[in-house]
Amino acid sequence: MPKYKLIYFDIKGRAEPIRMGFALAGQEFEDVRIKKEQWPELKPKMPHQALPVLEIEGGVVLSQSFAIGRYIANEFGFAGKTNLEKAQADMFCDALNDLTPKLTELFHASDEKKAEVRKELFEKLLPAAFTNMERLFSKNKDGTGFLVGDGITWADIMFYNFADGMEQIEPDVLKNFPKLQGLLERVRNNPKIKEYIKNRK
Amino acid sequence: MEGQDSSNQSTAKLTYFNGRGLGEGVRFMLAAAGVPFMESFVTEKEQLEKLRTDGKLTFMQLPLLEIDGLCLVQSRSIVRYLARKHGMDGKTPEEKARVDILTEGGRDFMASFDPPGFQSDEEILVKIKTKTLPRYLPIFDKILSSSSSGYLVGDSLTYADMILLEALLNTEEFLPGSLKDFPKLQEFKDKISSLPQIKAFLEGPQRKPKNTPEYVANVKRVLDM
Repeated sequence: MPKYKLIYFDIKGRAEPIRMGFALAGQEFEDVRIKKEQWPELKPKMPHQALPVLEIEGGVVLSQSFAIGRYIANEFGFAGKTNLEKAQADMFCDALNDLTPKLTELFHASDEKKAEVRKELFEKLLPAAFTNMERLFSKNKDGTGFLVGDGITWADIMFYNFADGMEQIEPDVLKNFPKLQGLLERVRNNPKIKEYIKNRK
Repeated sequence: MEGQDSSNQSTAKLTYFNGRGLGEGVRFMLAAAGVPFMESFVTEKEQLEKLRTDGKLTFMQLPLLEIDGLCLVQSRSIVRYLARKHGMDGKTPEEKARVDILTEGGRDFMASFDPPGFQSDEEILVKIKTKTLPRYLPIFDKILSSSSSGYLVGDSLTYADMILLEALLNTEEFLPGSLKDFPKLQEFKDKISSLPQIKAFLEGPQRKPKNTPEYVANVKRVLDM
């Protein structure tokens, strides 16, 4: 029986980076995907009435996708090597997370509002965010490697999932950001991640 | 049944502590051979006891690699199994002997990096600096100087290259700059580290960091040291 059980809906959403993290580390976990109908009954039992949660053998239940991500990154060695690197990784992730309310808005917007929110996101907010990222990324080996330090970290996994999601809506979203495009490819070509993407549900 | 892998997984699974030790050489070889692997970390005595009573550990020791329906133990044997399977053990009987010889020497070289955390750092560094490096660096440097392929034996990657890589990476970590008088060794280290499957491994989480106090405590706790 695996030590870890991840519970989420049967979509990528906030769980996909965590699933990918387990795959990167070569660690087993139970990938539980609940149906929408099961949620109302499960909801009150969750620590923060939300998913994903990570149930750890022994009884501890973690919620908050970023906390879960950081936890497995620290446990399995891809959080960054020093406290400073870990903070830098967090910095990139938190900056991306600033865009979540707007993404949620786009997802739930009525047809009339959708075009307006989409325009704000793709013409203003995302370019600004990616400009910052490209500039900061260039400070680490001129943006030829990974976001932080010498190796792949949690921040790269988060960025990959975020950018990949944006590319599904707007394929050209990274066209002005060659270093971030390079990073996306680099993550995509990591053998463990490539294998995970090939086999995922 | 002893020696038989009872799991249904098709992915290889390595069971060891969450650190380098004797497991790291197996991880290097799995990476070199392009074999994806899962890891199970032993953090409590009970886990080790269960593996022993389940009959998976021939000599009651770790590492354990469950692969191809087998339960493989003895780190050097695991490495040789993988190398043989993937044609990385030399092409002729003579080459196979060379690879074997250089790996035994390479393992002796690596042995000086096993104790950190278990013995005092000063003791270890003095030994590495005064005995290990003067003995092994010139020998491997000389072999590489007469290699036209850049590999230790023949013209392709073998398990001898992997143990030397592991030893050189440790050398740079513990005594930075030690390779400055050995450009052939530096070249070798860079060349092998840049091979795509090895680069991905070195940049990823399965490459373990130097021994930490937590790691040492974990090992002592599980092994009753």
